[in-house]
Amino acid sequence: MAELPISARLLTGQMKNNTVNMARAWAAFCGLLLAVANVCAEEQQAGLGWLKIVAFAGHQTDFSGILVYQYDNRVEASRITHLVEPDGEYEKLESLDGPKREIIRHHGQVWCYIDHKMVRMNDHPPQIRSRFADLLPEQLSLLNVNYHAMEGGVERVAGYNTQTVLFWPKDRLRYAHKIWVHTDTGLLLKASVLGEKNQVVEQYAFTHLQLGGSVDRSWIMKGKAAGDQGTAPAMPPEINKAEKNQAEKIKNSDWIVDALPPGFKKIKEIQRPMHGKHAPVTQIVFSDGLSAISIFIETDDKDKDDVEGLYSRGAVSMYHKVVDKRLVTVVGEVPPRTLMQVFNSIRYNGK
Amino acid sequence: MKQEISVLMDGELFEDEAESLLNRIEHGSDVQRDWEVYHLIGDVLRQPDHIPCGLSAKVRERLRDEPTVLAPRGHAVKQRMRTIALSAAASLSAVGVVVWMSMQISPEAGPKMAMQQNAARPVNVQIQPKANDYLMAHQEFSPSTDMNGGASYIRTVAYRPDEK
Amino acid sequence: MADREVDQQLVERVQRGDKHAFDLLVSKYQRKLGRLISRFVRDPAEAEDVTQDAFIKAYRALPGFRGESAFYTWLYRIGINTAKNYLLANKRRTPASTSFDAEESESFEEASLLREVNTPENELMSKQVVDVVQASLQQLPEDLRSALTLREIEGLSYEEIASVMNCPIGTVRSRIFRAREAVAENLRPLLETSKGNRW
Repeated sequence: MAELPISARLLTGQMKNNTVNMARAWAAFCGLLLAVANVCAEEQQAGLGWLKIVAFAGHQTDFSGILVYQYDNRVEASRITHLVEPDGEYEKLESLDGPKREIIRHHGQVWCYIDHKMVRMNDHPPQIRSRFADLLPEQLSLLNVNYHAMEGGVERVAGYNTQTVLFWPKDRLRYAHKIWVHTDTGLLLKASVLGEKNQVVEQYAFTHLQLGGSVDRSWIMKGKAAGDQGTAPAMPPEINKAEKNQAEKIKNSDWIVDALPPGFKKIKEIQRPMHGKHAPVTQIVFSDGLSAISIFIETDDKDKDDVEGLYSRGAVSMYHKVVDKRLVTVVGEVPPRTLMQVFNSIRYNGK
Repeated sequence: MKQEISVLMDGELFEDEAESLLNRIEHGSDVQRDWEVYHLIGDVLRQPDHIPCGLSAKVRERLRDEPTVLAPRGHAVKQRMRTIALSAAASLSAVGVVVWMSMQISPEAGPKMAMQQNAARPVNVQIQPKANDYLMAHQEFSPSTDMNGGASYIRTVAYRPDEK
Repeated sequence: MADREVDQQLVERVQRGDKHAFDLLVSKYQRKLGRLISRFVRDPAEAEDVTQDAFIKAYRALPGFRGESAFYTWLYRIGINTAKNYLLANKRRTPASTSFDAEESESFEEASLLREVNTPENELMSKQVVDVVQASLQQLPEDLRSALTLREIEGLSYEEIASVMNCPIGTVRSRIFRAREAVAENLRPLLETSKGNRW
């Protein structure tokens, strides 16, 4: 607990004027900060408040912009569009370099551009969320427990004023997150995931942004028509009820994970079809409020192309291997070392 | 009085002092005007391209005609916690310095085009197209999707498939 | 950020029937909320009306505000809802464009400038205010300027500033106040002359 606020404070940019005098003053100040626990509590609320604004704005606002994504020494640009229609939100993400890749989301459904057409990726009942979904209270309380939230200074991102907020984990088993929130609209303009040495593991930032009525809406028809197996259901009247049902579905699994990092809670367990699979796959999701780890369990299809191993891209790591005649895959926004620890602690406890 | 307003707006007055100052506000008084201009200064400093605003006077006018709202008391009044005496903290500063020194902190310099490779990371294998399906399935339920919205899916969009 | 406590204190006063306390909140957030709403409502005069409406709505809804979030978070949501309702009521949806060309789309910065220009008079006024503030800031002695900058831009508390500047808190308090007053002195004549205008 001791070291966290100081380095985090420094990271939030309050060390902009890095003169020697300031450095000494900060060093002396460290002790002060340790003693002033009440400051952290206020800041925690302030930081979480920004997150609520971000989630709210992201769901509420019609916007389109160019997003630059940096990870593992690569840079990719994409265009992202988000629109709110009477029947819910539509979201499109398309790559701007390389071969065409596109994803459309609506009502919990996800479509992907494959073989020159849009194909729906998931078939289970759409995730019913509130129209202007706020962050789930559960997620916020997990976050509150596992991270220190603190506001940094105001910084400019591509010419716009943003408030920085840092989410500093309470242990080294997970990443830190820093976000830049546009102070006017509440939109997330930049976000980075930081590793142990405060290096940027992945980052994305808007370079152009367009809001409101002038954003093109013509592609929405395309999304509805393509690959549609059945019509999208009407907006559900009662949101809370649906969420309660989801919560009930979290049953006790035959699979046990012994070494989850502290603060991770199971938030979902479902049997689900997956693109390219012949049979439903078990997916168990754990979250600490900011990151998530998914464990997929399925019968081993003995696919020779499947190379066992550890993959990572940016903040996401993935590992899979056959365990007890089943193919187990773990995916998570956690450091690879943590992912391996989790994987190695999975065991089957059933018949 | 002016200095009190300056201190009040920064939240640095004790609650009782603040209350007493606020009790002294009368309509059209200097307190109102000083508060307004001091806030204007802060706003301009933070956002030089600000827009002109004659709003507060107009809202004040409209507010006069509004029935006065009252909320039932009884919800917990947040206790203002004041910072602890500096002397108590001095003994902890040594710990703080050591920790601070041990972390190599540099001001966040903005996006770096060439990012540091973490030596502890395993060999970076290209995520195979099939693995992308797992990634997408994971994204559906990840809280990062709540925060970042569709931008989280950029991870799946951004891969370079081996052109299968 | 200790100024959230001020908000809470002001809110509680409003809830006890003190309207003046709400005036202070309006003064504090008028520009911020105005900017937010002007993203939705393009016409500056309409945007200002909608912003006023939002504040009045907030006032009426204040009894229901229990401090579960920061005041500005709550105000922000009211602002967005007011703006959206206004747009719906006036059916201000721009018809969908047929093409979606990256080059043709407005950049954020351009669009915002377009919206903010009202009359040449206001534009000039706005620029003058900014110039006066910047010039006054430059003229300040360094310790006053640093104190004000650390407070307003870096958002540090008095205690933190005292530590950084290596001086007692009382000195911080005094420096920030003197900095503000110095700038305010130059601003007041400018603001007085435009009384009766949109300012």
